[in-house]
Amino acid sequence: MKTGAAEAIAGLLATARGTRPQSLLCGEAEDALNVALALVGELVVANDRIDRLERRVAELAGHDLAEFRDDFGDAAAAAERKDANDALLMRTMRVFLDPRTNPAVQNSPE
Amino acid sequence: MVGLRRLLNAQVRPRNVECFETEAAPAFRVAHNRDAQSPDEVQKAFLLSPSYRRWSAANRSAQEMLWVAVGDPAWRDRARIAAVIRETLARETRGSLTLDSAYEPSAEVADVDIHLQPGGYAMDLDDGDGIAGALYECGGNVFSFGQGLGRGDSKAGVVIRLLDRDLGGFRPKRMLDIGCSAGAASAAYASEWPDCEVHAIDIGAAMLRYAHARAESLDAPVHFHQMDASRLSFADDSFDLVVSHNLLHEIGADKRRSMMAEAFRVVRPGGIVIHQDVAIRNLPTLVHQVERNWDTHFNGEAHWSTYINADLAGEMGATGFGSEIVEHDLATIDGAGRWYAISARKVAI
Repeated sequence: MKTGAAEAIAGLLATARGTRPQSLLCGEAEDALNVALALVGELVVANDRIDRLERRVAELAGHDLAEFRDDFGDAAAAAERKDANDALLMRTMRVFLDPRTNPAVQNSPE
Repeated sequence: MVGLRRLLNAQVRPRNVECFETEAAPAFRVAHNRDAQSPDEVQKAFLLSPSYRRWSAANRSAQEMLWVAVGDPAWRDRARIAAVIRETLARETRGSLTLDSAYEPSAEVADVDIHLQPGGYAMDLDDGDGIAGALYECGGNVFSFGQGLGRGDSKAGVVIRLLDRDLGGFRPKRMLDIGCSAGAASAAYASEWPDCEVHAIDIGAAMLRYAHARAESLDAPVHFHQMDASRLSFADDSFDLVVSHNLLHEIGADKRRSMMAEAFRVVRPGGIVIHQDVAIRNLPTLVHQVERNWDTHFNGEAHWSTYINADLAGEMGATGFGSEIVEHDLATIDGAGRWYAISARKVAI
């Protein structure tokens, strides 16, 4: 039976031994940094794939690549994209906007 | 992954020593009313620097991600790798594989995930397993490219060039590669010197199965043996050339001295021994040394500092070599890196 990617990563991680020494003062912050760097890696791969697709589509359609990339489509498509981009930013930056406060900070002495 | 590692190595890491002066040393002074002096204190001071801590956390993360990046496809491909290994073992080959089921891989290497490779060098899951070799080869490539080495760099190539330029174009008829891991250098020697009988040893069965299948797929005949570097089963004076690649920094002082003594024992009079390794020795200050020693604390390289501080020329001399011991600072074949090597010729009788 074929091994899936998630199963493979889990299998690999299960073989890891030793400790995970911490560098930052806060372990939770270091975990967050690890997640962020992993996402950076995913983004680099996604950008790489989009670039290759754009080049291939432009080539197949007989378009100049720069013109193809500058073609933002009609207003409806542009608005749809803008909404999706704004939502992505909202999802990733939501902690800066969340009105709830940290009680530990709220109750700490001056 | 290569891009992230290059950024961390080439652009962020060079600032660590500067950060020691601007952040770490002042913070240590405030805490202790004096300067950091011993290696342990310099290490503690480094960890008082926010910039160093950020780099350290990111570098550890990048190293862990390296293994996930190469481990995912390698692990998914385990069945195919095992099928190739079994097919190779079943047919007649120019090279060979000799495993020793009675051998218990040396704990100081086998029990550590060196450079965080999951399961370590001696992980052996079943009788067709080769995953440790696949991980080592793929992970090693990503690591090396991230260090700035080019795709064309070759540790065997560095040794061959050293033999050509500094050792009279010495050519062996029979050679031994100690600590061969996935067999990249061993196979390169077999390809470069078709008339040379190439032997190679390592501790892990899965690593060696992979190395054997890899070498045969390249039509590079190598005789692989599961054996401890400190207890070679080869006869005295039986090789023209004995090499090791990146082994010195993976083993402790006692095993290193025993390995060097064994290399001297098995090389013939007039033959040559070359140990090649990473160029992290002879750093200018204690701060530089401790900075390079990050791998000991965060990268599973237990013997990194032992290697940095060892008197390797003295140790080789103690095995029986005379005044012909030479330490080399060598340019990489491809890329702007350096390699360290130490060589000696056994006096002809």
